[in-house]
Amino acid sequence: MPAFFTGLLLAAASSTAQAQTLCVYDPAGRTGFVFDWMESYKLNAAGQGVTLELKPYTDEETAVNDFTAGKCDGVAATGVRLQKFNRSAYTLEALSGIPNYTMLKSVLNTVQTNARYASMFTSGSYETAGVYPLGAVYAFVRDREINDITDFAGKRIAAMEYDATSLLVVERIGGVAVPVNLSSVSGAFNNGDVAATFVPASAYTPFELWHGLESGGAVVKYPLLQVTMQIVINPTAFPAGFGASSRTFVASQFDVAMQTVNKAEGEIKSSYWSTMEASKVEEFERAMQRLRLELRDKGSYDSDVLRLLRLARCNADSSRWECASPVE
Amino acid sequence: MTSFPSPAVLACTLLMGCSASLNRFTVKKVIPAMMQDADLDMACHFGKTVTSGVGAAMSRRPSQKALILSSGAAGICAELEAREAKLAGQVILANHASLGSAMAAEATDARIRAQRLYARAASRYYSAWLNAVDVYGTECSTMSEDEQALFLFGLIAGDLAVITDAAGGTAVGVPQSTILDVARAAECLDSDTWWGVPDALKASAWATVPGSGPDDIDPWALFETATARGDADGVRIARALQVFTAANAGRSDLVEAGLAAHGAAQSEGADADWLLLDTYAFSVSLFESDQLWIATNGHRTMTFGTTPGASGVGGEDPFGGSDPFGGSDPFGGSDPFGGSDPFAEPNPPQDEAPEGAPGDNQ
Repeated sequence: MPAFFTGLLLAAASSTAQAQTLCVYDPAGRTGFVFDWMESYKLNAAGQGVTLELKPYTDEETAVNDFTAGKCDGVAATGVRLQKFNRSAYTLEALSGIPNYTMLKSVLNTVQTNARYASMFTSGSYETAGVYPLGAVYAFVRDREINDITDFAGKRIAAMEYDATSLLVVERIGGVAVPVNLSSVSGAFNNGDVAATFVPASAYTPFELWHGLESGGAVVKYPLLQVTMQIVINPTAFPAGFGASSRTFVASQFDVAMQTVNKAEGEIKSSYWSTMEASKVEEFERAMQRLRLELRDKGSYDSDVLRLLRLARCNADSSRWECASPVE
Repeated sequence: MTSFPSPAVLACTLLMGCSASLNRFTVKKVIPAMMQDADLDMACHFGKTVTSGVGAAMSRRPSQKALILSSGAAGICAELEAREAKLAGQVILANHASLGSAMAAEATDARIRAQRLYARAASRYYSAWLNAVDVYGTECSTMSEDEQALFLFGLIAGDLAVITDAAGGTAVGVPQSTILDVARAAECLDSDTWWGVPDALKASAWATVPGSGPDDIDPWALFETATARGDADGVRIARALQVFTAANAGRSDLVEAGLAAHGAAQSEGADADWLLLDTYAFSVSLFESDQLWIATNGHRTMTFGTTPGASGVGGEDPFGGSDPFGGSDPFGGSDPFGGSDPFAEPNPPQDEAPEGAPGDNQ
């Protein structure tokens, strides 16, 4: 082809190339680790011919609202915020659904790279284009005597005001839910307005949660759930097949993301960690299963994904109490 | 222009003097000389040259005040290089979308290079901050004005340690809570005396960490008073912090307004005693501006303080929207050429008309 025509074609391609906007929620803004992950994601997308413009948001609700309003073609935010777009992907965050990071890696890698599970990532006119691990949620308690599920009865517990699941959990374990947001959670816990809060380790350093732990508190090392950072896109704004290739890339970033998670958990002073008594674990897990079933029946959790997670747990340890007569 | 004390002078001081004399020398002589020079390269290379000497020669009792300054100055070198690498990657992404994976690999390489350099900068800034904490503690104490300047330098280094570590993939592991430590330490300095910088450091922390500031203070409003002070004093660190913090939070409205204000303030000149800080502040805002320009036009800032337009120029009306001729027609409404075209030439013969000329396709 003559160079003249080649030049014309390239010029035409260049002039029609349209950048897609990805609204990125990171409480620390552009300097946060989630935004850093998205910088890598952007480069991978560029390799597929997709030009992404990253827009930082420090307010998650605004980011999601802007996506809903069509101001961005995709949004990166926590699974709980994005549940309205895709219940199946949100169910990966199910209560006590994934008990350790080895299983988390296996589950996220399998569902994101195996075409068999592609349908769980499409819902209506939206597609979940990736799920990153943000780490387990732990109970931060001001009194380390609070250790098993019965100890929360009657206690004031901070729960994210927008998270119906957290509010329900507090209610079911007999606590008094104190609705908080990111601006008020550290003050509530550090000043003693609440006896406990459920957050991932990544909140410890920026919110200086040691102030609430230093007078006999603890972080109970039992993963209540796995928080994820998910990318939801409007697939019509992207080339066909982008969602699947995006998930494959995101799955490949698991270890990179876990470096951040492990670093955050490593910042918590070792003396603050406490473990749940082994004899209490099954009782706790049974309570969490009851809550999962309740949330499934309410339509919050997807039954297929709950079944997948039960299979993963029982494949890893078939002697678990729930494996002989499964209800999920 | 004032030149810095040469490394040789410092080396002599190291060999002959003691830690205390080096600290005095740093506070009384080096800081004033360094701050009067606008050359960031000079400052950073000075820091790189002397830091290890200061630390090693005085290992029994390190000259920590000297290390605040030298480590902080050395951080500038790596940060400036890191910014260049980051911009190079952004230029590739902005201009070579059609190259696909090859372009992505080049941009990725630029990002990795930038991250490594940012990590180096973070390590140096963090060292400056830790030395400042060791020297001055976390409680407010009485300090001479010279000491306050060094303390302020340490606070700025603390913020920069967090920022550059984040840009470097947190390889150094600077605790994010450092910016809250900096904000608390900034309470020890009078904001009006120090060009609004202490208030700007507080505003930056409170705008970045949700719920960290007092309920009755809007950090963005605090920035307004801090930047007004800095702009008026000709040391525009507060303005640069505002622009950076706004960009970090995705507040593009505040970024554009901040850059415009920084551009306007530049015409007012800088405080000659603190040229280095003002030049560094300008470099921060220029870097933010460059990123906007590259994303929009594919190249760096052409006119600092203007919002990049899709046309490849500033995107602003250079006449500010008003009629530059004051509404009057200097030609009085009449044709100054009397209706005749003085440049007109006789019509070329029909067969010599250039390609594409009017009527060519008839």
